[in-house]
Amino acid sequence: MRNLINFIFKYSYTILFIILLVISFIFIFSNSPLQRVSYFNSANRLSGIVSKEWQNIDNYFNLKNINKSLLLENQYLRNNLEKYRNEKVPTIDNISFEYIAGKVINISVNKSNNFICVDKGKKHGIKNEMAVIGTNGVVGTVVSVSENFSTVMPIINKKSALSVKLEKNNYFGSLTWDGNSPSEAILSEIPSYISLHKGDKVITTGFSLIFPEGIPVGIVKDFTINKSDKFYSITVSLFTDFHNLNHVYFIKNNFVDEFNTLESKNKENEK
Amino acid sequence: MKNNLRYILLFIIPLIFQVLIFDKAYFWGYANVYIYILPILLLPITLNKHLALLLGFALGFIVDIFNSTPGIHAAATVFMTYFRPLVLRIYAPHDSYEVNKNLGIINYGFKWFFKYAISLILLHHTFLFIVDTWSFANFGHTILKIFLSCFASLLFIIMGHLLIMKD
Repeated sequence: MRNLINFIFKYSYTILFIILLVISFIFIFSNSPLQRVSYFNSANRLSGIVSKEWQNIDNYFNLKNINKSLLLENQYLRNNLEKYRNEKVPTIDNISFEYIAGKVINISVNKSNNFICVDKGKKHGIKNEMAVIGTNGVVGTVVSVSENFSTVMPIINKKSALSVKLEKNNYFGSLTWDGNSPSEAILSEIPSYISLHKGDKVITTGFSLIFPEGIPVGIVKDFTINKSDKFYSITVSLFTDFHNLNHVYFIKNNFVDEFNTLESKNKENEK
Repeated sequence: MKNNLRYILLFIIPLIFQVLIFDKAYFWGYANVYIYILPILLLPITLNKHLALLLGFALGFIVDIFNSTPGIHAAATVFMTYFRPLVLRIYAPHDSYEVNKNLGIINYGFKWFFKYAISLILLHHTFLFIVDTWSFANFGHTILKIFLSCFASLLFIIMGHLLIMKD
C-alpha cells in the first residue's frame, strides 16, 4: 500500500498528464462527427456570438466582393426567369423547394474536417440535413441546428459524401474530399467505359431529396483510370470558393416529410 | 499582484488574437498560426508543473470550443506542456535558471529562446496535425503543413512575446 502511494506521488505528474490526454481523446473519439458538432453547439453559443460580431466588422471590408457576386447571381437568375417567362409554364401549385438566405459567420477550410457556422437556426426554419448552396454551387448539408445558429458540413469535409452526376450523360458517382485542397474534390464510381473530357460539368443528382437536381458542383479538372476496378478517379475543381464564402442559401424541401413517411412505410413492409 | 495581472493578460491577449484572426488566416496556403500557446512558453519557472498541465488543458479546450474541434487542441497543448520541464532542462544555461528572472529573450538571449520555443512548437504542431489528419495516407502533405506552420507560429510567437512581456 505504501509502495503504491509512493509510486503515485513519484509519478503524479505523468499520471495527471495521461489522465488529461485520455480526457481529450475521449472528446476526440467518443462521438460521431455529427453528435460531436451538436454537443459542441451548446458550448458554441458564446463563440457564435463572438464570431457574428467579428464577421460584421469583417464584412465591411468585403462589401465590394459581396456586391459583385450578388450582382452576378442576380444576372443569372434574371436570365433564367426570362427563359421561363417565354416558355409559358403551367401554374405551379406546390413549389417543392424553398430557399432561405443566411450569412456565414465562421468557416474553416484548412482542416480535415471543416465546418461552417451560419447565422440562421431553428427560429428561421432550418432543420438537420437541409441542403446548403452558395452563389456559385453546392456548399454542403446542415448537420446541427441551435436556436439561432446552424452548423454546415461542407463538401470539403472528409466525412462528406455527395451523390453527383455528369451533366452531359447523367452517369452518377460519389463526390468525396481527400483533405488536400479546398478547391478540389474527388469523384469516384464513374465507369471507365464512358468518354470523359476535361471541363465536363458535374451537377447534383437529386436522388436524396436533400439537393434539388442540377445544382452545379464543379468541372472535371483531371482524371485517371483505376486499372484494378475499371472506374475513373476524377479530380473535380469546385465552383464554390470556400476561401471567399460570405452568403449561402438553405434549401428547404417541402416534400421531404412526406417522402420520409413513405420510405419508413416501405421499410415496415419489408419486415 | 501586478505580476499576476500581467500573466492573466498574457493568457487572454494571444487567445483573442488566435480566435479572431489566426484561426481564419492561412499563410502560403498551408500554414496555420497557433499563437495561443505563447503563455505556456512564458510561465514562470517556479510555477507548479501540475498546475501548468491543467492550464495547458484549459487553454487548449477554449480554443477547441471556438474551433468546434473537441479535444484536439487540448490534447496537443497538454502534450507540449508535459515536455516543457524536460526541454527547459535540456537548454538550461551554464549558470542555470534564476528564480526571479522571467523566462524570455531579454533575460536568456535570443538563441536560447529560439531553441526552446521551436522545440515546444514542433512538439505541439506535430501532435496536433497528426491527430487532426489521423491517417498516414498523405504524410508528405502533413509534414509540409507541420513545418510551414511551425515557422509561421514561431515568427508570431516571438513578435507577440516581445510585445507583451518585455522582461
